[in-house]
Amino acid sequence: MRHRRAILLLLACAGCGLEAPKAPRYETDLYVPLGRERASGIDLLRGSDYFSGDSTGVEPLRFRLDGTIDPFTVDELLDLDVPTTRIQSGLDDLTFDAPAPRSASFTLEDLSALDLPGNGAPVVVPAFIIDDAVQVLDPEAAFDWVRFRAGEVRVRLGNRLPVPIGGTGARALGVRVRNLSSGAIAADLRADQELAPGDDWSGVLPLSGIELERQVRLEVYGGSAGSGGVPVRIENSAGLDVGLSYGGVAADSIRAALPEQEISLDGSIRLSSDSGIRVRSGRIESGVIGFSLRNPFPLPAELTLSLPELEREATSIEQTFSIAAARNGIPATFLGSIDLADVTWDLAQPTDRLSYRLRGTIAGSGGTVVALGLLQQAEFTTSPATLRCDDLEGTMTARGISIPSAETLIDPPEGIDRLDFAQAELSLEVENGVPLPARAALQIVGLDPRNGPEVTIGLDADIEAGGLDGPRTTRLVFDSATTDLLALIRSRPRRLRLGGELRVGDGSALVLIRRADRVGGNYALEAPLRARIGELTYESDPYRFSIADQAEEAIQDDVILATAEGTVENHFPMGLRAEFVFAEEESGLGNPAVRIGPVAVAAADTDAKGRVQASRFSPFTLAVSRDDVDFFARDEVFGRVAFFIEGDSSRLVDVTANDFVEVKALLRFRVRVEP
Amino acid sequence: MRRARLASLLVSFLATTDVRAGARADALGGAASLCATEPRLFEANPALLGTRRPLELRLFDTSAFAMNDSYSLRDYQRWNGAAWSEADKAQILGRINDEEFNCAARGSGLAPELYLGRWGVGFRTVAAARGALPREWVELALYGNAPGRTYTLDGADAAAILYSELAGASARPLWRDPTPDASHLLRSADLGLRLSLLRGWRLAEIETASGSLRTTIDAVEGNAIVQSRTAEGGTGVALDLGLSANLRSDWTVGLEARRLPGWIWWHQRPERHRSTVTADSLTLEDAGEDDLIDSRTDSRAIATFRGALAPSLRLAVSRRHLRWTFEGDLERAWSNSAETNRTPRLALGARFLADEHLEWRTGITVGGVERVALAAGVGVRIRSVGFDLALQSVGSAHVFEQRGVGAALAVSLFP
Repeated sequence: MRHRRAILLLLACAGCGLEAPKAPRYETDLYVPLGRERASGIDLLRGSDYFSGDSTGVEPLRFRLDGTIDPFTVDELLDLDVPTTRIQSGLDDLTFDAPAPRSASFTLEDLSALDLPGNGAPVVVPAFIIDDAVQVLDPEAAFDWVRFRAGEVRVRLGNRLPVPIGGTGARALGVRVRNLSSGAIAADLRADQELAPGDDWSGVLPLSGIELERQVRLEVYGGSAGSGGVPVRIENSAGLDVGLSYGGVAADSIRAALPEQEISLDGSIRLSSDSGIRVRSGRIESGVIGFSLRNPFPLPAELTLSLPELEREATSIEQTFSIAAARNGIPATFLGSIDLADVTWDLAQPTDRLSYRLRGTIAGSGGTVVALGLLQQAEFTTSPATLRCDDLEGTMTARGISIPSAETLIDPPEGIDRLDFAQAELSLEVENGVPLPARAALQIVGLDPRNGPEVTIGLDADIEAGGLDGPRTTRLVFDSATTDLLALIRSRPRRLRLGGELRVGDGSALVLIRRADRVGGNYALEAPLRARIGELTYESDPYRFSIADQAEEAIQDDVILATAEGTVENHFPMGLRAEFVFAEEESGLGNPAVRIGPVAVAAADTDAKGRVQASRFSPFTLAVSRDDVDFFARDEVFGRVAFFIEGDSSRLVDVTANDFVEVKALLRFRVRVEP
Repeated sequence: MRRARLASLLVSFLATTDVRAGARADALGGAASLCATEPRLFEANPALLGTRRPLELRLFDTSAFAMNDSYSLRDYQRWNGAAWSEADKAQILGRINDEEFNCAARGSGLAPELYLGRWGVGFRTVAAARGALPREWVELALYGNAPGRTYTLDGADAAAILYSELAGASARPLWRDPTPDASHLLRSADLGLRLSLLRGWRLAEIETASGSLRTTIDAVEGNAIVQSRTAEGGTGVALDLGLSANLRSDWTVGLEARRLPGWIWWHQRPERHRSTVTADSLTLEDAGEDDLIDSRTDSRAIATFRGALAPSLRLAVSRRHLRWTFEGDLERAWSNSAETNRTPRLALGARFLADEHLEWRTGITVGGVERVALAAGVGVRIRSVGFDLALQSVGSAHVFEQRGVGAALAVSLFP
């Protein structure tokens, strides 16, 4: 019986059943990080293009507008223009054989037209007038015709008659030379005295302007007083001797069979440049001068064109060419060019002209009669060209380099008008590679101002000359105490125009100017962010996140409540509010579906200067409403953090690059677990 | 020489196994290796079959066991299906004293089992499962991903197996004292062998598990990689050896080596699974591309693999005194598996033969997966039908604070 009870007890224990397992219900937390949104001083003012700061945070942030002065390169200033140049020149002299000396003898019978006994028979010679005493001289071999521009003809008279010849009045003795063909008197020379028998006389007649034909006749005129009633013995061989001799003759024009003629043509070409450079030395990188030569002479010529001031590898620049003879009075033309690449200059004095020299020989006519004259002009013409120089040493006259007006469209950060800057400065850096001092005259204009009228600031400053070792940079700083920079900033212009002029060179200093020499620079208008700050708004970059289907269901069905928990660390000298906003689309963040916050944070502790000394931390817990929780039950959510700085514009503070606000937060979902 | 080998084996092991094999063994807390009377095929040292015995047919012997190392049945009753308050959650988490929460379950069915002479043959099916979960993950489930905390998955472990076993065993006397009245210490010694053909039905086990989860103000970062393998069928073989010796004054000692070898070649749909769960730098700022958590599982067929049933050694000592029989078993398995745990286990059991029809049994276990287990049972023979019943309270020496229960029932025929 005892055993039976024990067995029954054991069976009872064995039969005590356990409840079937059932899922429990409880609540747990699901934390989803909202992340860490940090906005530095620069971020907060949204405009890193306009605000800068040193990373050490020693200096306040600086509002900065900057731009560049379009660089001006010497470059084309070293292009020397060769304009069209036309020079005419004729022969310096005509080479020809001077007329041969001529002589003639006129008998008494030739002179008096009297019928006199000859052979020494005594006879009384009456007074008489010489009429038509003419002798044709032998033709000249040297020319057919000539017009003298210099020289003289000497006339010698020798009276070998027994009666005097000449006198006064109608009897005055003279000699004429008359061209045989034209009958024109080439020369007329009168002796002012009576030639007694046996007397000689000579006279000189300048030949300038006298034309002389190949054959002339000699005419004697005047008279004689006769033998005065005394019989004189007249020999047949006796007569009045006339001799012509030429000396120092130079022709103006001639028609003759001519030997070679020398011709030369010297001149210079004016070089012009924008820079007003006068060259002393330098090198031409490239350039070709074209030219033409017109030959008016009926003879071909061999010519050499040289540029004596230039040389290439120690060899002067010259070019030899031939030009044909003119035909039928139409000049022959030669077209040529001369390449001046790699040519160098080396002059004693700076100049703005390029000399040239044309030398040559006109061929002889080879026995053919040709006409040449000093009035025939050869014509040398250069075509327009540009000589591109690598570098030049010389002088540059004062040259104004215009700084093109550059406009910078500026978009000041939102809230810039809430910043009342306490000071500003404009720094200007000009890099001058031209070894000439310059003077800058700049003008800054704030266009389209939002506050007040346009503000224009004019600035003048000297710019240091560049050196041989490279450009020199001149840094100019203008502060708001001396210029109206603050007014410019406060006018909040939408565009900033900077223009002006740089004047370089004084026309006296001898400098080496390289083609690559340049003038450039930049400017920066800066205002340290030591300001009275009003209300500013900053919005972080949007972010988005996806939510898994299960999580969506959990949020919809199982989330009991949600909170946003975190901390705001404010290292700004202004109080602020932070707010989380969420929307279905990024574009909807402007009108968000859910706002969490705002969280208000007091300004950080500052010193007397308004500089932050320590951050202020503000932990927060924000409840998310049921409706807002449901919003998160979707595939994709966009969000961002907005900061509202609440400066009261009442005190001056420093904002540095180290200033920041940081929000760290998590979304805490209280989830019901009920499997 | 034999003594040297025996000594070597004794020195090399401190072994036990979690594999309880039947209602009688369960009632003795597992101390059933040397049940010289009516030794069971799957629970006793096979060397005990060396003693001729009358025909016995066990119709069935079924047992079930489930436990954990943290929660008592009272806790279970209290929190099962309940709404947990924050205080409940704190207590639930507080129950887990170690770094991980362990649980195990096992069930077996045996039918039939036939004994004749020195032979025994039987068939049984075993289902076993074991799991370990890091305490941090329980905390994560209860309290969520608290910011700043790192939850480590390393240490998670689980295994489950379902297989059938057809075993045959026999024993042969090694030595008999020719002079039973002499005062020799050793009176007899037997060597037994048990050979099993195995048929695996299911296997699932975690090979590696690692990962962590950390939530910061910036991101949820974490990943978990769990690599496991499964199979839906296999065949194998197992060999158990046993040695027993009857000593003077009714002392018996035994040494049993199980699963030497014990292999199942899993060849039906063997697969390896790699599950990854990633929360890669998840923040609201950069989470535009993916879901909050990205999980993926890749499975691929693998070659037939051999799964080893954990070998174990068991040293047992028993003594009969009047109608009492006492036994102490010391077991140690060589590896963890769905069935075994490497923690040594000491089981002490006592049987009291009230009369020829009734036997009371009780036992206590220390170590192993149970830590502490109290067991009790009874064997009743009514005419030629025997009943064995066993109950176990696991996890605590306090019978009302048990963290697991086990029950077994067997019916045998004695023609």
